Amino acid sequence: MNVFTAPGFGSLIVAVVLLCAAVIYVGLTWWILQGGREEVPPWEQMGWPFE
Amino acid sequence: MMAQDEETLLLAPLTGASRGFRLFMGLLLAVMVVGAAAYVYQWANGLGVTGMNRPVYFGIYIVNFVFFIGLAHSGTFISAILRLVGAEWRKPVARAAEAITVFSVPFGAGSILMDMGRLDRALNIFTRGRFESPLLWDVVSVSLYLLSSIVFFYLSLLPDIARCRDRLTTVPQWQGQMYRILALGWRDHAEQYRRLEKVLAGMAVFMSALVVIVHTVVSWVFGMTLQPGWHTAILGPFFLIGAVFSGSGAVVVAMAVLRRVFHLEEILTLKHFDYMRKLLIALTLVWLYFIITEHLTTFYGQEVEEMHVFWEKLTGAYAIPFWAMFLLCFAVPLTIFLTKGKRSIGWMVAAGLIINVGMWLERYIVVIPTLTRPRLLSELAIGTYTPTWIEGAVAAACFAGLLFLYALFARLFPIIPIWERSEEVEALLHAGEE
Repeated sequence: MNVFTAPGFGSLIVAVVLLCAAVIYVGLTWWILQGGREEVPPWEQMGWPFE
Repeated sequence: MMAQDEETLLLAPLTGASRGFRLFMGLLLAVMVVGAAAYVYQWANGLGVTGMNRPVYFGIYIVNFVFFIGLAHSGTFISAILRLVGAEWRKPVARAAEAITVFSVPFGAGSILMDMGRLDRALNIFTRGRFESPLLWDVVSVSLYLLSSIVFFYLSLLPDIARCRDRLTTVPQWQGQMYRILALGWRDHAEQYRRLEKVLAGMAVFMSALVVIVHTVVSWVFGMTLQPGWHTAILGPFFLIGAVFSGSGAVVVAMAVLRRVFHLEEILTLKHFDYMRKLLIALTLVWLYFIITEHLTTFYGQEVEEMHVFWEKLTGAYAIPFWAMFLLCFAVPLTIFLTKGKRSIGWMVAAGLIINVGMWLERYIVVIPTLTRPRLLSELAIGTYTPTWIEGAVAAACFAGLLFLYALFARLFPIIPIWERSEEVEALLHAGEE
């Protein structure tokens, strides 16, 4: 039997396409939210105790 | 208008609901409850309670599927495509259009589930889905479109959700909590805005391609069969142009309602309606061209079974909806756009509504007549289809559901993008560049 016409193969395609898109979108959102984070010094992120 | 005043104006609807709003939502809820009851009845008694029969296997659920997916294209067209070409006037209109996309697609996809009769049959897609089936291509493209539209919509909303989180301190606790969660810790940093702009620009390219793909693939559900009236390559572009046409009509209606209800006269100006008017004139003419092309091709070929459907539409049982469609999609709106629509928002709204009624009829004309005269039976029998109240109630509930979600969104989130119009954000971006 040809794998491309096997019942369930189409489902695999749906799952792969949607999963890849979801991973890319989550990654992009994370990247946007990280914008500027590296400019904040670590002591500020932790909360400097002597201010 | 000063930036501060504008922000106050745009955030004001988010702080409380008027009595009229509650009444409107109650009415929509009532329609949805009736539709849900009708669906439960259908579930319990089977698809025999609908007007669908042999050989008319598709009814108004499938008509609605095509219509809702078409309606959804407004958001992508206005937002993504106009973003690509740098049309600045799209800014105040973009979110109102994108919201139509995000809330229409689920009802389009949901209409397929109604058509299946039993929801558990949807699982067959996951257990028995076959790659050579156009129905499966539909599932892939529509799901991807829904996912991408939600992400595109959400990302462009993100800075404004953060604004709501920071400015709206008097709203109920659950509302404030919702803004805090959905803002994902947005900090209004210049680098975040820069990255957001980059991602939105990139997504706009992808979404522009997706909008073409999705409606073409939707048309393949019909076009890949050997049925008269359907098996033509023009169906894809024809579906697409119809989608953008009805979606743009819906955007005009949404713009006018929002302008009136939220007092946005200084933001959504006559100029915006005039841009939409010109766009719609072009779309009306392109739609006419496509419908002529489609029917001219069929007529020129004179293939017997094609001609059965052709004459059913033009002079037979479907002549009234066919010519009503022609009037509502072409003659009436074009007359309005060239005369009263120039200066009157009310007339533009009328034209937007008329186009959508016409486009619903167009979807009906595409789906039903072919099934009443299918290829192998066209000489032997003529099918008939009359929708029942069950289908009517479920379809009405879908429209009410769309309006309900849209109104709820406009009540909880800024319907006009604040950050894209903010001089503060503009300065922040430029300061970073220097």
